[in-house]
Amino acid sequence: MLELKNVFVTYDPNTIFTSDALVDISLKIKKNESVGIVGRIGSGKSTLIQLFNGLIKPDKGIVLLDNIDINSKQVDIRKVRKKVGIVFQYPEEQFFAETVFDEVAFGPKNMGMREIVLKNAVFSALKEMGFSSEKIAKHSPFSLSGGEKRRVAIASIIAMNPDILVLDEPMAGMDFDGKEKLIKYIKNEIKNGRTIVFVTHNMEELLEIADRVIALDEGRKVFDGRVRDFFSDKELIEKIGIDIPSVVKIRNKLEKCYPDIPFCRTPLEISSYLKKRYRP
Amino acid sequence: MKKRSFFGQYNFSDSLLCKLDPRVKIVLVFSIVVFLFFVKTISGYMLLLLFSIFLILLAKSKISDVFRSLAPILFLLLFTVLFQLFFTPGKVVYSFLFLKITSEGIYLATYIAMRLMLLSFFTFVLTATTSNIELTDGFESVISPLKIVRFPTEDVALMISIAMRFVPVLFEEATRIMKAQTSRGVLFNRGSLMQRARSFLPLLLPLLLNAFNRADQLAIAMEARGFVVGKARTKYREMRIKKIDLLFIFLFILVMIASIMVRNI
Repeated sequence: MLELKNVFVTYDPNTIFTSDALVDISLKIKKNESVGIVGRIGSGKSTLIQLFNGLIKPDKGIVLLDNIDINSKQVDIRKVRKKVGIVFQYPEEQFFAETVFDEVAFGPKNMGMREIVLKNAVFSALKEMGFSSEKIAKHSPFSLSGGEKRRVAIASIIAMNPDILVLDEPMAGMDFDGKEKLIKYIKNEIKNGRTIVFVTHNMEELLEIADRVIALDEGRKVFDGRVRDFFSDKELIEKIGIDIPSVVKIRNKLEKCYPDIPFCRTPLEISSYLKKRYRP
Repeated sequence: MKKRSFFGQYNFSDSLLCKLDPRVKIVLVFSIVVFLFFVKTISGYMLLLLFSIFLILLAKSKISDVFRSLAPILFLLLFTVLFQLFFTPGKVVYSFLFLKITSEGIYLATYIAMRLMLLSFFTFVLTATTSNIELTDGFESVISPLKIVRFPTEDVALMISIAMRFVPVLFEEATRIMKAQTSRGVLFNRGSLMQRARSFLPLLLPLLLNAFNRADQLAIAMEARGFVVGKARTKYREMRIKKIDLLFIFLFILVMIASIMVRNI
């Protein structure tokens, strides 16, 4: 379990550039949750996720992973980074290895995995990200398509088998096909019991993947709760400037005629509700 | 958390020196730096030191920032001073084993130290009161007479300004990649020298690749907006010499003459 207690982060304190990136943030992320973090650009989302594995240290407050302060001197930070894997924005820009295998094996190697264990970790991570053939491991990561690159980059973090997988805008700059696949594999990860935290600007993605939403505005936490409650808080949604997904809009309209309609995440769920109603 | 600032000296103050024409500042600082090597007396240097402190105060800079600007040349400074001190032949004042300090050595060492220190003080004043844009604009204008010999002054100035503009971008990118690789278990500041050197490959390779990509994109974006190498372009900021500039030119000349004329105490 990951917990933040009254965390403050200030950039460039005591200069004219000083800015409060995060103000008094407290939150808990439990096992098996899938959490979406939303907010405007510059609202502190990226700073927040970098706190999760000690890339940034809070100026005030503490970050606890399984009840241990990750920034205390006794803690081996590598172990923290093995448990909390962060996939940055455009992760394929970090590629450097000659083959996909080496690229994916880089993290686990740093964590001390060797030989068969390493090989297994790499191939199972690639499989989880939808590469069923082992041939891909011999290719150069630079020769892949955009979507494949992204999935290899995510596999390179999954190969470390983190308890919590943190993704910073995983779908940014992807084509339709790539997005579809990625959503499918991320949902699979959730099903397999991995905790997922992801930053997004796309409300459809949020609706489809997340159970819980954390909304930030100017470094402050302004919402923390279920996705369905998030989209019904009209005042908040206007304040942080996001668009209600059309699925939610349609569902809300339908609710007037069918008060028993459940919360729907995809158009498919709406249509299956209607089907059930009319063709029992 | 502290972010690193780059060419961080520019302090965005409203000081008088910020209002000077950048060309004037560049020429004045350049000439006084050259001039430093013609001053032959300690009192001349003292006068210049006082003048530099006056300028630093006028620039509204913190003295601590000035000393921080000395840090990069500290090694050079120490090395040359010690070298002069011990290896100048002449009248021996003090000797210890094979090391001999001569009076000529002391004399030369002091001069070198003064020159290097003043050099960095004056350039500090320039960079603290002039933004990068002003610097490159000023530089372009200063070297523009070279056009006569077909020297591509505008292109050189553009190259410098793009290079300066991209230092913070590359730095930010390096930080980003470093963080990403740190998340994959690299520890950049631990391990043996070999291990450290090896851990920089996952940083340098992506950084270089991305820099080339970025350069490509920039070139295309510039051409898309009508940039043609070697063709004349107009300027957004026109620089004009004002009264205050003339005043400072006068002041600098005065100080330079005085520091030559002043007698050694």
